[in-house]
Amino acid sequence: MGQAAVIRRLRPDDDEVFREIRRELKKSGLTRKRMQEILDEVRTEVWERRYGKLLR
Amino acid sequence: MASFFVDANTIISALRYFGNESRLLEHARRGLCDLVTNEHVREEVRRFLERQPGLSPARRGKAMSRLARRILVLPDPARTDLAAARGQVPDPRDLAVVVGFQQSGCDFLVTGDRELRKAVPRALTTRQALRRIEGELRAGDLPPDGG
Repeated sequence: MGQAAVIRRLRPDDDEVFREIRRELKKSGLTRKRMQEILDEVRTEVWERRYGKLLR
Repeated sequence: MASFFVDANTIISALRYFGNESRLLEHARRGLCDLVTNEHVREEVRRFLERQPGLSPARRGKAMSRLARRILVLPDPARTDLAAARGQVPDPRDLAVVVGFQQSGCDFLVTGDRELRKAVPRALTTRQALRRIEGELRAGDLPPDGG
């Protein structure tokens, strides 16, 4: 009684982590169009690296 | 409870925007649906995040580990299965997703890719997936909020 306790979370929960990431991505100016472009490049990279020779 | 195989565009949208895709992740956290993907998709997401200069390696790592808490990651399909499925989709880069979905036993594939939805009979938009989950919830077919 009479004592103030500060409760601090030692680890941010998932929502907080996702919110931070969303904020960072927004701050970087990542638009939906650019997101699709990068994803398209990444899909090619990953496919080539993992299965590229499969369908040649 | 419905299970959904999610592809990279769905996962990345959930990370970038607060909207339908992030709601889908939240539903998975609450135990209202199962979300599944495979190593191939996980690798696409990981590489996408690597291309974001604003995200530190630690932040990227956190993102991947938090996603893994909500999305079950299955091994990739065998190469022979992918080769056999050639022709099922116009873009061969989609084969790992389509065959992964078929082998996962999930009820639906959730993708933002319109062409892929046309090619796969049980493919849904995220909005359609949410409607299904929320419909089940209204019908009392799901456990109460597990937090």
